[in-house]
Amino acid sequence: MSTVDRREFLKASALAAATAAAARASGISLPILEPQAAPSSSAQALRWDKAPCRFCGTGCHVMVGTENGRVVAIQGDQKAEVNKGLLCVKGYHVGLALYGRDRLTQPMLRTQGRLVPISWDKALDIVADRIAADPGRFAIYGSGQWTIGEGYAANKFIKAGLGSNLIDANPRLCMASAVTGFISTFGVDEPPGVYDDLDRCDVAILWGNNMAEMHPVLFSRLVDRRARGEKVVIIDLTTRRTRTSELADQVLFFKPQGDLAIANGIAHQLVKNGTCDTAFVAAHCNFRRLGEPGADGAQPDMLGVPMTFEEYAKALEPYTPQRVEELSGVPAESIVMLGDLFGRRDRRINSLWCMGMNQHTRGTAINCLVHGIHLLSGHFGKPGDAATSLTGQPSACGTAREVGTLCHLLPGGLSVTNPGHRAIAEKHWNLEPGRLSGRIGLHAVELFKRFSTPTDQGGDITTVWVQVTNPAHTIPDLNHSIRRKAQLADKFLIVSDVYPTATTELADLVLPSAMWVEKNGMYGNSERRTQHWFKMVEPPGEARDDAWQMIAVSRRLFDRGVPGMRDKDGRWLFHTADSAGKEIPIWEWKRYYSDTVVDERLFDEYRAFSRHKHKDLAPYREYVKARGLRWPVVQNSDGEWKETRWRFTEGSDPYVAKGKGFQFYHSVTKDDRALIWFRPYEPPPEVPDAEYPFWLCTGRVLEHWHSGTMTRRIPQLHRAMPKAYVEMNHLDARALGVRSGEMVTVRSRRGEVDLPVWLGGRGDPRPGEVFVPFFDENPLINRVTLAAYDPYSKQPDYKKCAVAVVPKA
Amino acid sequence: MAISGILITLSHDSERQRLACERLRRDQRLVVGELLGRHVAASAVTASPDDDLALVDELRRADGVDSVEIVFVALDEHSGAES
Ligand code: SF4
Repeated sequence: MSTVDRREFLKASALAAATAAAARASGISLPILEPQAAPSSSAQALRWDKAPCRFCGTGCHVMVGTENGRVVAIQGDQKAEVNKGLLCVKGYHVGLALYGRDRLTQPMLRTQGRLVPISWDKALDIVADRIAADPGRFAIYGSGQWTIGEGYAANKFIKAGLGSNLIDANPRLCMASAVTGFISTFGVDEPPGVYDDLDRCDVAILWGNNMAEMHPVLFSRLVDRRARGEKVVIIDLTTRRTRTSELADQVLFFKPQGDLAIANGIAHQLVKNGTCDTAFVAAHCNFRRLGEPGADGAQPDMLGVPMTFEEYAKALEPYTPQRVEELSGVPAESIVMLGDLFGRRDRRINSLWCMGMNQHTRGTAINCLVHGIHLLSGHFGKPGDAATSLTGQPSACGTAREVGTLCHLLPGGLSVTNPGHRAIAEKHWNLEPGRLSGRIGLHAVELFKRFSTPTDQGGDITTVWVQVTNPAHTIPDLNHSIRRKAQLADKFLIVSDVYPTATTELADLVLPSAMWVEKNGMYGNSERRTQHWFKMVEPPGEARDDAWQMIAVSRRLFDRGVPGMRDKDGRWLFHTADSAGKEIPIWEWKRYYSDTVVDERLFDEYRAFSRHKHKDLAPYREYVKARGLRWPVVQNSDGEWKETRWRFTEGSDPYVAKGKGFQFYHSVTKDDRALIWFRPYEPPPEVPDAEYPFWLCTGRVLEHWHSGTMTRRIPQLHRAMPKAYVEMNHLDARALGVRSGEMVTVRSRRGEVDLPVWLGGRGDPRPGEVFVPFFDENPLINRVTLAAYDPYSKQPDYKKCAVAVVPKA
Repeated sequence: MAISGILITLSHDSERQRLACERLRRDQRLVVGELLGRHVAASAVTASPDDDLALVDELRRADGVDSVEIVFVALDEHSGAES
């Protein structure tokens, strides 16, 4: 096709996509047409295939246009229920994430301080040598951006192959408190509700959640209802004014950590006013509080102790509107308003949160409290009535939580500490009984602490293999964690990634990875939706799939006779055979894609785990056809695979018995009831003082994905938001004598960085608070943040620590 | 050269909507589709990705335009950068 024809074709495609979006926005139903292939010779034909977006946990579907082995166009997928054809600015440019000029294309070994190219054979031998030399000191650190197959391969490699649980993943930094909140409340992880609640609620309450920038397509889904004449009230509970605040009906500012008091204040109002849903509570809930600390001051366990409703009511008595105002800064009358709102049965209420509630030293507590007020008021399990945790990463749910790539989990929500669960996993993996370890491994912060401590001082992790994440940028208090690795010659860091990062800068061995549509993959988004895509283009140079890298090392260990790499019948853990039973050497790269679909083989094996906790997945081939399916997915009598919207709700969830209405079938108390927790307000671990007088909050911005390694290579996104800054209130700036653009040092007890001030910009903090986005690797704001974490989820608090702001001379 | 598909939502006010629509149709950089409700689809052709983003910003600020969303981006003539 000539260049001119091609342009005309792309212009026509652009107009067609926009027309479809306009029709949808105006409620006109046009037939959904597949994006057209270009009318040209087959060698040059533009081909369209579906994939979930590579970036956030919303899980929008995109249509990816490829031509001559390259991604050339992106459009929102009109057939996708999640985004209905819309994407955010990151999604429209996602294809460019593949084409940064400095893609890693060869394995490289650090030699005399420099990274020097080596062969894959040599690189894999080095990894195998390090592991074989001391498997008990080897750990894997992965990601909520791992595909399901990649996470499963890594999990099986270390738990079955090495018999250890030394694996954790970056959802520890973003979702772990949501997990402990769900488990404490419902006995099982992941949200009961779905995105449909956004279309059905009357009121959306955003708990410390800048949804307009972090989940923009979901926020549009909510706000667009107003354009259709529907009434939806948005209440923004926040510590600073954001783009979300601009579209909210009410903005309620709270002091850092004040959310605990607000939630207790709402519960107190419900109890005091007699507006609890007593029938729902009597039929479906128990009350719980934490037990007493151990004699040595140890945290009480997460299961807590029972309490009566009367004891619960008594515990709430101190949370009067006036007291809550003192603790949170939210006016007493607004607490009364929120209590009244939850007390109404004629309103559907959807609470939504993300990092604000999770990156919190009392993250488990605040998650439990928000679930609690929904249960107490009966705003649960009906379309629009839900407490919804939104994930930050595209497969934090699908991979880390469901596949269980965390140090305490096995696939399918099973636990390493439960002997029965280990026996199930040993059966699925065909291992000798007792093979799996019941000892919880190391959570992310502790793992990197041990890795960054000299071996003779208790630093017993000597080799870490990092895939698809950038811990030297994102771990809190970096100066006292992984960045110390540079001084420790006996520690060995292996990094599989697509671009140079703050972590490859410290790596001893760098392995170039394929990304997104350069490989087959599956993700699982925030609403339990498992999504699939096929490889569309070749990775550059010698870049290869992360799962292949893990499998190839496993095979090397198998060939060397490492016993854990074989099952109880002597077969290799990743044994894959053709239909005639002949082994396919998937450890050879040239055979990895040619003779089988390895992703299908891994997924269908993993799927067997999903039934034990009612997280049933359909066979791989069903996901090939669908724009994702929400688990549990069960087969109807007519053979159709049916997804589930509202979990624990009769008529929607296939596991709720007829006549029950609601059934919490994984109940901690084994009586089909959910738990309403009392958890008190507790102060943060570090508060501003005379020396460090400001609160520091960190977070994301619309244009950049996490540590920016992909989005900063997309020129449009980079230019829109080129570097980090410190947002502060104009009153504080005036007192310090600084203006927008002037440089200041942001300093904590742990480290400091220099940043330009931005006043009245994207966000506007309250006096005494500052905000810094974390996408920029220069400077690294995590040199300043605090490594304090929630005692149950072990998730660090990136949202509040004390800093000084000092103008640069 | 940059090519994109744009969804433009116009004002509820019918006169401002009509004037905005006329202005859009006169813009040489745009091919504008039918008015559907108060939404109109357009494809945009500009000299560079930066010009494309500048056009979207300009449209967002235009009288009678409530919002602008990009719904299609052709990527082949854009090049990646180093961080
Ligand atoms: S970044 Fe998130 S909201 Fe934006 S298109 Fe991708 S999945 Fe959707």
